[in-house]
Amino acid sequence: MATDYGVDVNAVTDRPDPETLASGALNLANRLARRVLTSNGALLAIGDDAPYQSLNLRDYLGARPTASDIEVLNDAMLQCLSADDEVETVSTSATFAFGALSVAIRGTGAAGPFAFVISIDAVTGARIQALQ
Amino acid sequence: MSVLDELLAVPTQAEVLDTEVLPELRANQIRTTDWAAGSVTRADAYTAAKLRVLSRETIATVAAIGFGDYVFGFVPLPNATEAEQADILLWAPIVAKQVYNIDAIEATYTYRNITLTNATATPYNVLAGDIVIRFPSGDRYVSDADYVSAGIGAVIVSFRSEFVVDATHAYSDASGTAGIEFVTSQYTGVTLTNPAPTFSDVAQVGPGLGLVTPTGAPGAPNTIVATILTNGNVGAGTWSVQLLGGGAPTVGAIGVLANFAGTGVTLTPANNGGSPAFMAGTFYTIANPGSDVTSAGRSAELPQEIGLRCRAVFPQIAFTRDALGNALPISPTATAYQALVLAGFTGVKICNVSNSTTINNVVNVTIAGQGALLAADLIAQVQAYLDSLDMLTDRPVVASPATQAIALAAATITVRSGQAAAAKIEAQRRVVLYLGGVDPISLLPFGGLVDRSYILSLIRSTPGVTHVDDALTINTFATDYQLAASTMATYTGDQVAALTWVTV
Repeated sequence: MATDYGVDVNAVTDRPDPETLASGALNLANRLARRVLTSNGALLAIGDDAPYQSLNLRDYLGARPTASDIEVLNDAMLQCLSADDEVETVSTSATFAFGALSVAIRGTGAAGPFAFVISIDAVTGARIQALQ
Repeated sequence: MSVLDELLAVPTQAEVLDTEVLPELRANQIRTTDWAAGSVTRADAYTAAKLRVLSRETIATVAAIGFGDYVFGFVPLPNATEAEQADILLWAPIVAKQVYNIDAIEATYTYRNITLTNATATPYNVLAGDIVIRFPSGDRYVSDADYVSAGIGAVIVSFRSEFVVDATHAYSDASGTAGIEFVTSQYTGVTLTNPAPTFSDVAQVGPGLGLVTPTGAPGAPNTIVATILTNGNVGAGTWSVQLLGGGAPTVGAIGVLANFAGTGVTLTPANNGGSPAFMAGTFYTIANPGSDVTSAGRSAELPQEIGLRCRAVFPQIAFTRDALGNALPISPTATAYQALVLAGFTGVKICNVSNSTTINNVVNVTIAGQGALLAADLIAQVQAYLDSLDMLTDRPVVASPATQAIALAAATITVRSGQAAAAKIEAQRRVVLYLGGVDPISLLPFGGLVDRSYILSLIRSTPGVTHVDDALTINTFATDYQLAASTMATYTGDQVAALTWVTV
């Protein structure tokens, strides 16, 4: 059983300057956030053919989804996030308001619980706030 | 490993990761421990390795294009993928122009005469470009001249192929093809045919108003050349008339020659208002059968073809120059002959040069189009051009090659039912390109070996085909077929339609 979620550059949509590292739940949150902010198949463009299920929430920006659409989006996110080896349970809750998208993600990983919110209010911008 | 080998060798992304990127990260003691797919440092490493591979590919390309063997496709680039090979060949026209000042020959259209027969009294006046027709092969042609019909009767209209000739469009439809249809508006009562005239247009090279008209019902294909020896009108001047590939010429006064050399062709000279009508040195070329094709298109020059012309430039350096600086080849090499002919006449796709084994000084220059014989007038033009160079010891003789019809039979091809129609068209296209001597991978020269296994591979690799048995015959033989010397392969009709197609 893993005891931590590893160390990586603290980045979701862009590299920090100066470069800082993330570890623990923050690193897991970053990693899971990247799974839902990376178009499916994007890693193949850089030659990384390891299995990697992902989707890009930015594609839904500005939409006016119905309840059914939101349910489909949540299911898609669950499928992507569950594909991470260190995720044991996960739940997602997407909210659309005035074209902006906010997704709350909670779950339990191999090294403990995690929770964070992704807020997207522009085509290129996304903020992540780890809750624990 | 030589420096050139190092420049041409392109590592894989995995090799770059293992030998360059990851060791560098290790040396810098990177603290990342999260290497799962999607991690930042992992993505950085893969991106750096990818960029490194792209730069090495560029280095290999730039190094390779400096060598004619690679850039013209004579020798495959070592350890290169098909895509990398194709990238190198894209540079062939650029190198040809920059280094040799040779322009690559571009593809051209095929033009042919179509007979529109109006069986009604309805008149038609249709502008050029407004009629599109389609042959059973799928090839489409666009009218290149106005169609004007006052009513009942036949009108011949020139049509141009829809696209230039290329790997996917051969436009090799035979004369006399049945089933030609209108694609655009229908013209009630008008039918389309493309009959071959009995004779090609008589090609005259040289001055004089005199005409020579062929008539009769010839059997086998023939080419007759009538050369005026002394000025004069019919009955006064003299000429030499020879059947190419036949016996000695007939020399005498210019006059009617009935059933010349037993060919069934009657030659009738006429003064046509001139006096003297026939001028010494002028020659007339008469060929049968004719063709509805008035100008055979050709595909863009292959890298190998460009390379041959480029390399022939150097033998021409020693040529004497005229006052305008044009090269006057005196007894050039065989490759120089090829370069002169291919550069001067874009309709000539294939040119073979060899010394006669029976007559001193004769140089046989055998030319053809793309899978088809050239028109008599073009052959006459090439002959006149080489004759005008007045070389001291060479006597070039320009002619079409003998032809050998190729017929495929007996093979059984298994194809997926949903792809059967497309597979037949694609297989025919591939076989036609090969037999026409313009397959980019395996050129079939005059007197070459028709490679049975290569034809099988062409059919087997056609999308949709799942199996080809080993029963294929070429002209009834289940082996490779050797063409006779200076003989070009020809074909008629749909070669693959004669084979058995089984859908699954």
